[in-house]
Amino acid sequence: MNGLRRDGHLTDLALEHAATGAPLPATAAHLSTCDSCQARLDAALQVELPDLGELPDLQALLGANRPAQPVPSVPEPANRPWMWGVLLTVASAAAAAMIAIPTVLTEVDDGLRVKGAGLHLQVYLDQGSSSARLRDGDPISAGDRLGFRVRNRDPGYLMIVGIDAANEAYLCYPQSGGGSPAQVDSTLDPVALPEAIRMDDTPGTEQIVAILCEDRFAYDDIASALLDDTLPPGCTTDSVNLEKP
Amino acid sequence: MTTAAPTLDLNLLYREHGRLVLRRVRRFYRTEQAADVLQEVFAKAVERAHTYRGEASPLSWLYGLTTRHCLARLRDEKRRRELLDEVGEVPWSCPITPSSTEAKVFLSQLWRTVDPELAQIGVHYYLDGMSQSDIGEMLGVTGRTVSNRLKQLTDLARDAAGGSP
Repeated sequence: MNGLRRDGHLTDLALEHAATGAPLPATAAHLSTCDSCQARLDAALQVELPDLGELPDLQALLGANRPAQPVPSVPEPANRPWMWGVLLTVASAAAAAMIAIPTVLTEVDDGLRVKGAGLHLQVYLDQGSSSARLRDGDPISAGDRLGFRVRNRDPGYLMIVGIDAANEAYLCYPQSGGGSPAQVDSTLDPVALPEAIRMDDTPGTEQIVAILCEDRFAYDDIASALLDDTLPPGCTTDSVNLEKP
Repeated sequence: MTTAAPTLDLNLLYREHGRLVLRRVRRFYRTEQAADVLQEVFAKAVERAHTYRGEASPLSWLYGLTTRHCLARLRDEKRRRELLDEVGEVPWSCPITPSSTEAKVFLSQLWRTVDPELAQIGVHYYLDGMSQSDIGEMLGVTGRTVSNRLKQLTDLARDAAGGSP
């Protein structure tokens, strides 16, 4: 590894190697002559780890096939040792959620709203091993993780866009499509989408909009159209409005 | 003959490289959030330890994992600020000043919409200023693979910018 940036200074990764006392060979000479990089290294060495409380035995957890340790109750949100217990169950909880979410939603499904040409959007609060359906006017909080289910009678191109209280649009789904919609076939039952969003702390009404169009479109265009209320022909929408105090 | 799989001593990793993770997290998150994200990264390291193949040093593996976790977390948070705005003022790091159109497009919007691997490569290249070979070594892929992925990113950026070169 060379460890030098394109502008000739140390990369942050090379700086980390240097911080361990074992700089990369190609960077040692630069470090001895560059005041700027030496100052960066000095600053890096002054960083102190926060007190994270009692850490779990990571190696034991890694090799163990046992449940997570009991979760201590810690009131301070900025320092959350309980996160270890919670997050170490992520894999099993995620697997459980894949099974639990359709089951839970089927049980609570009290009739999908019908709008447009058979496009139906459900928003649910993803709580790890369970989920709760959210309806218009339901409250949400900063940090909540929201998932989506969609049923579309017609095939087409699907995207979910959020609009926050500041009238700013943001892409909810698909987040890995380079701003392009997902091509979907028609479905008889609601389908859980594989991506979720985490809410920020902007207060006010959060509008989640599903858009289904006959033709492919781009996020920037459809976001502008939504904000201007000028959707192109061949597009239908369904939305859920949530309230963030 | 069998070859022993590389192993990670995560306790040792935390003791030796906890500060590395914290510094990298601070590149994307403010101090008040960094402790939470730090814990998440080590929990993720436990979950992803089986992916460590020994092709890069544990330090590099952890650095890459931290970067990817922060990007995924930022994307989940739905904030649409530019990635450069997410970067706190940290004295041990100074981002490369984006000069090309594709770098500006990537850091302003594209990073949020491309696949996680491509987003990570873009951050290491456009924001961290790492060479393609260093990125490849860190990720356990060839420099050629990185080059191809960057070409893909450049094309996407140019498309997003309206086809301007």
